[in-house]
Amino acid sequence: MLKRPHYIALSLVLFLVLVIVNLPTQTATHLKLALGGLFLPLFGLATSAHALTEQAANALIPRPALLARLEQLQRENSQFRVREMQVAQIFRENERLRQSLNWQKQAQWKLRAARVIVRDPANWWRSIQIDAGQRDGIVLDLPVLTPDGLVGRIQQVGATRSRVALVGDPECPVSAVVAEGPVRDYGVIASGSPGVLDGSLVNLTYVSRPAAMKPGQRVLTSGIGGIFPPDILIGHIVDTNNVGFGLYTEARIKLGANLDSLEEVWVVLP
Amino acid sequence: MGSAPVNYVNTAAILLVAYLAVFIESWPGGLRTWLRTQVDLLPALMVYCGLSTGLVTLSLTAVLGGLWFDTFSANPLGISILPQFLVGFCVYLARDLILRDQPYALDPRPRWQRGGTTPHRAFTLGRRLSASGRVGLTVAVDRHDPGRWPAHPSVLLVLRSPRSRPRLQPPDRNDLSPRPRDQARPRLNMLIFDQIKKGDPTLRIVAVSVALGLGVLLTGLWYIQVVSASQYRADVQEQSLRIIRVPAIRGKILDRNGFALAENRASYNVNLYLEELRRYFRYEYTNRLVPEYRSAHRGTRPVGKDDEALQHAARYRVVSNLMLQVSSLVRNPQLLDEHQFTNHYDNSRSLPFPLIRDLSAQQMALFVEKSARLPSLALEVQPHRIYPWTNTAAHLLGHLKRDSNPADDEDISFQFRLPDYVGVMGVELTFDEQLRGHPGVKSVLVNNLQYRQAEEILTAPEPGQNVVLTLDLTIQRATEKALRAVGPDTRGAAVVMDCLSGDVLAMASSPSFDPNMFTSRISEEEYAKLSDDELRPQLNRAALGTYPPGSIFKIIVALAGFESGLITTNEEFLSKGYYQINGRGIPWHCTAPAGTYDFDRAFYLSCNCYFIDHGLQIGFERIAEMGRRFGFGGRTGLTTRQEAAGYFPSPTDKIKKDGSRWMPGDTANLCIGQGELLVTPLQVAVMTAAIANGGEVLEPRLVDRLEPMDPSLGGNVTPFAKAQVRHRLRIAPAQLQIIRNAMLLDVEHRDPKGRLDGTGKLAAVDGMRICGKTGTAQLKEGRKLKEHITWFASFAPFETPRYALVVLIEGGVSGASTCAPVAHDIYEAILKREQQQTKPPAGTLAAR
Repeated sequence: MLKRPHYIALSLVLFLVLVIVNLPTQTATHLKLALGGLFLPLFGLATSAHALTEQAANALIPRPALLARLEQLQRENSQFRVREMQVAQIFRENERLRQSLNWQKQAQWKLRAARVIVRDPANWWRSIQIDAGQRDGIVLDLPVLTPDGLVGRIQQVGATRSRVALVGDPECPVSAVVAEGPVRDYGVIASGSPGVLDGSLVNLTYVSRPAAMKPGQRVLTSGIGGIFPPDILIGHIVDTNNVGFGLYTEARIKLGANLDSLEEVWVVLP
Repeated sequence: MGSAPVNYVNTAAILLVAYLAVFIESWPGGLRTWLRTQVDLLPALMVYCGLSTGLVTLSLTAVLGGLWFDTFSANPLGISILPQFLVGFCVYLARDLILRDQPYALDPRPRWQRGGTTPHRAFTLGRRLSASGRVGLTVAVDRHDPGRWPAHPSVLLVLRSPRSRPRLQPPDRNDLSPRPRDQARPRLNMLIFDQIKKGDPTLRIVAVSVALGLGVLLTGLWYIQVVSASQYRADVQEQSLRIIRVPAIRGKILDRNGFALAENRASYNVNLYLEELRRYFRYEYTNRLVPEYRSAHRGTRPVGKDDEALQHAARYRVVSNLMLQVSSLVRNPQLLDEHQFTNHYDNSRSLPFPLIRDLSAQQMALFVEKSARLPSLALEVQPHRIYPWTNTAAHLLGHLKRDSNPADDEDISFQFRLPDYVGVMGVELTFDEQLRGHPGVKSVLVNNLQYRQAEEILTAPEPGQNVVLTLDLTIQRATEKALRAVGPDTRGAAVVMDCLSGDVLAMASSPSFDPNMFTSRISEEEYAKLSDDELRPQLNRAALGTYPPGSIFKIIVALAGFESGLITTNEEFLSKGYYQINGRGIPWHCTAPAGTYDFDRAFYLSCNCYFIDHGLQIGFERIAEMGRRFGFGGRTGLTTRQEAAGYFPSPTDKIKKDGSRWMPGDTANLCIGQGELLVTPLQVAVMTAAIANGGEVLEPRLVDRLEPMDPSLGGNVTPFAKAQVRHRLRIAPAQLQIIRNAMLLDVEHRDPKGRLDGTGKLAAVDGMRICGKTGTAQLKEGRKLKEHITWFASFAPFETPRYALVVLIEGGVSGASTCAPVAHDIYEAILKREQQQTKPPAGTLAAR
């Protein structure tokens, strides 16, 4: 049997929820940012602790191992220098060809590195927060990626932080294309794949021609949707499935970027 | 608030735990990284609060914990508060029950901490982790201090070792003494009935009034629930449920090798869910239109029709704005058709409103990436019929038309029908029922404003069956290409038939049309072209066009002559180059030069005089009877039933079409395939096949089988019988061989100088011996020659006949110069086809 204090508590909480849920979007965003600020000391502490732990761990690495690593990096460095020369040559050739064909020059990406500071604690969203916001030139809908592949797009922007909707979140649909094959097969990545404890699978759907899709093929951004630049790796096809008696095909895609262990990402600035 | 004073230290500690819990969940290097899954800690904390704290602490933890949680989540701010609170609140309300009514467990604390013999109650939550061990979570409640119970029980969470009997049970059942009832808590029934028994008059009056009121209510309830139940049930169903017909996916039409001639592709449409726009409608109405109205009408509020008009305007504005935004987004700006929107809103409000149909790949990409912030939109897929080879076999395949009221499901009364199509002609019409499958049924629950609330699929649609034709796509395309090569807007037809099975391998009619036009909008220009009286692109000339056969009918005359003995191969005939019956009257001219002719020469040079002379001797009856044996004057039995019978005189009634008496001149005309007979190219193909196969008049077979849409999933296959013989000619094989030899000469005969001189010489192909007969009939308007109807009827290979090929061109020069080259091209394609495996032709449109 409910008593008066119970009713009061229930009513107060209900009232509070109604007020907060019905706040204007902008106010709610500001409130979120303000509340998030309460946690900044803790995040700072955790990051410092993490860095200290890493430093301590690094201090324990034996010298021969470090020297071996240094040697390997030097070798890689020299390889990259040679490759850079090749790239520069290809770039010049590309410029000449583009001029001769009067081809429109593709915009160079401007990248801004950002650190992942928060993961969405709710299981049903795929989002993270990064430590770059309006002050760093971040605006809505900018693509976010890592060297391993596409991560998502900017969903909300604060002064110093931004929320990124990850690939597979309903807020981050991506027009994709299957890279290998005789013709470009377009599709849409609109949701995560309901795989048990595996957030690295997403669904590629609405692909019109089933025959051309094979497991292992790369899936890239199509670049025709206006948000994501073309040819960013999204992932690789795991398996395919015919829908509606061949009306269109769906495929499960293993994401290139490991969204579960993101530490640093790159925002593609306009 | 609450039954006990707030312990601030405890509250602060719990809030700190909540703060840390949210941090641990949100920190990238937190629990998620270690456990590889997200663990939500707040509900556990709320359970703890429910068991151990007061309402203030509970509420604060729920509010702050929920807010912090939502701060780092994409959740709307505040959405997690209520669930967290309810978890704790429910536990709080039932904590007496939880902590009292669970079986006893051992107090996990050391004896010195228990402080005496006061029983401690606990319950165990646990599950078997392995066959040998068990880990349990014990919540032990300290009842040591009776003054604190039940406001502040101490709860200890203890991981404990496996017990010998892993079941919930008291440690010693024998010691289980009855629990003393709390005297301060009277039972519920005592609260009510004891007071009445005590004779409290006021309470009695209240009780009687309540009882009477309840009686009235119960009577009303009985009347509504029992007496009027059926009526209300029907009303409610009618008002709240909309039964919707969901069309099934239409089966494909395939060629004999499995290549799709008609299939379905996904059509991507942007649909708008009106029910989700209600608050926008209301906002537009309240904040924009009503103030405008009031300022224009001196502050009066809109009522009646004015109000309705404003509400409509508000809806139209909102949807129109969305339409403009979405269509601009996909770079195809469109305006909302007000009539269409009003009609949809008035009649099908519970269905999504189709905003933009059939997006291209780029439009779809633009939509999915850029429309995230537009409300109530959804990208949905519908099957769209396509004919990937456009004009190819269009007359045979037919086409569809939109039909929102098909009559195949009369047993269900649908309120709405999603767009469906029915076959209009050709295979699409003949096998419409099989191709369409069975529609599904969907129910949509609507509210009092007719907006959609929920929907449920009652019966899933069953896809239609595939129709596998006998056509060979490669030969069909080659046939159509050969016809087009004659010239622009060629009026003609060609049929390729398997002589032994009756399979129609190709059936082409020119000009053709693109059946894809009929499932989208037809432009005026296209419609004018389709309706052209002379070209008549929709007419299947191969089966529905009837024409005088010209000289190819000489085959029938020859067979009648052989059978009657009036034509022999050795007999010679002197032609003057023209023929007059009894030496007078209007002469029949002959394209063959004057001279002496035996049968073979008369045949391969197509000497009219020879055949008129012999035909008159054979007589009308025998010729007409032979023609009837080949099926002239009747339908061949084509599966689609879309064929003409033509016209052929009856051997018993010597009368003409117009009822006038049959004259010898009519017989003379008949002998050269003119006058009182009309045949279709398909009939001529059946005739040629019968000559080639030794005398069996076959039913042309167009459909090989019906099969399930996905044969790998099983299901019945319905085959259509091969080589259905309609008649046997009962003609001596030797006589048929004479005709076959003569037809070979028509193509291959050489003059003394070694040059090909038969009328069908242009059909000759290296690597395949072709037997043929040309024909050129005159089509007159009154006495004036309108045009020539030119023919080439043939079969090949000579040694083992397999293909019967008939070409007809309206307005050609002659069968020899117009039709034989077309046949040449088709035979070349057939030869090439025989040499290659069954693989899709180059330039497949499926790649489009």
